[in-house]
Amino acid sequence: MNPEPSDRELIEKIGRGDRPALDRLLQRHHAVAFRVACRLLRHEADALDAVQDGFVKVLSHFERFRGQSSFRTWLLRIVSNAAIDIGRSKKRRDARFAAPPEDFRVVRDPRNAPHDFELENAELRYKLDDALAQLPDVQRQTFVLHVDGDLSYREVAEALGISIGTVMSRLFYARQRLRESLAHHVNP
Amino acid sequence: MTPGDRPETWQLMALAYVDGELDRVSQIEVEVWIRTRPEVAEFVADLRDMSRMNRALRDASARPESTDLTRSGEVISARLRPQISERKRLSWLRSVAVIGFTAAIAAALFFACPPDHNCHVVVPTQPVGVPPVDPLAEFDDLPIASSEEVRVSMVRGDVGPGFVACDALLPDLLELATVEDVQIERTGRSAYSVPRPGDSPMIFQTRAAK
Repeated sequence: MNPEPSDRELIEKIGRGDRPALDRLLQRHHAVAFRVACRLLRHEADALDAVQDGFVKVLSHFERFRGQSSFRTWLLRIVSNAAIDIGRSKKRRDARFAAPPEDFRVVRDPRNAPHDFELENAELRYKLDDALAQLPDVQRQTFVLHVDGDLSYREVAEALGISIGTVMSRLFYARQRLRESLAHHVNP
Repeated sequence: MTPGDRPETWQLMALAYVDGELDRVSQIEVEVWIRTRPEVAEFVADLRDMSRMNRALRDASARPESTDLTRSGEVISARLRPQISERKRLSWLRSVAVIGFTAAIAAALFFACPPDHNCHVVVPTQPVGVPPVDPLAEFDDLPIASSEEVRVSMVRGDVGPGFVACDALLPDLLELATVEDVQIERTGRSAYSVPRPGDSPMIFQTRAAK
């Protein structure tokens, strides 16, 4: 049985015109891209638009990928920027988010739910997302790329073109704000 | 602590420790702090709680099973390719529309303000025989003010005092601004460049805004 090819191997194949390799690469990172877009936008349909926009850009500009960062870092930068753009352009129609938490559509997979945490607490999710939405775009993007995109400090710095120190500061402020918003959940 | 406080080094170190971003030596250093300083231990415990909660919410967050792009048997790039073609087509149409619109505006302005009409010429008040003074001469890079405050145009230094693009409203409203008149947003490199050595940039200010 052949081992799963690495991103680098797939990218080399894509360079030789292997289309299925491109599909495999996009399929591999689709879930994390969607997760990042969903967390940034708080809305599935908008997140899908962001991922789709990001993938179109990736396909259109694939030759610009130099391999200086990982493909995932590059992809998440593009998708998160697309999500931020969509979020800005749709800020006016945010009335739907004033709805109660049960209207917040998420597709959950209970198999992945940690046992030590009450995941059915929709209110907590709503508050966290609400607190995230209050953050400045740059802090929110940094936080989401790190937590939801699983990017290291260095990868976030590469994705956003900022220093690691700036990444740390933004994460600090973002967590501080979230901690204040969720104080009674963190320290019951 | 308030959100405006700058994080201290130990706080950033603790953050990096909880995120698993420290090398082994720094990890040990933080672990020593945790054992000896209660405030560090408390801070790290809070960060861990936050981190655990965030990751739990992340793991339970939305998944893209139901998306258009991941239907079983569908090929992502094949589904996106028509969109790229469509975007290129729209981009091409947009370019044609912009060129057409620009040509129409230019034609309208030409017939409204023929070249021998004074309305398109802005002549800064300048006594005869006195060399023109460039108020921005001290700047290596041209500072640009807010577009609401000033209009920026080119002045051809080799053919006369200067002109701006034909706009029937501008000549009576504009005057030469000095650096004291305008609010400079930044003094770094400007996006506005001087294409020829004989050209000099000038900033005009609307009188109403002064």
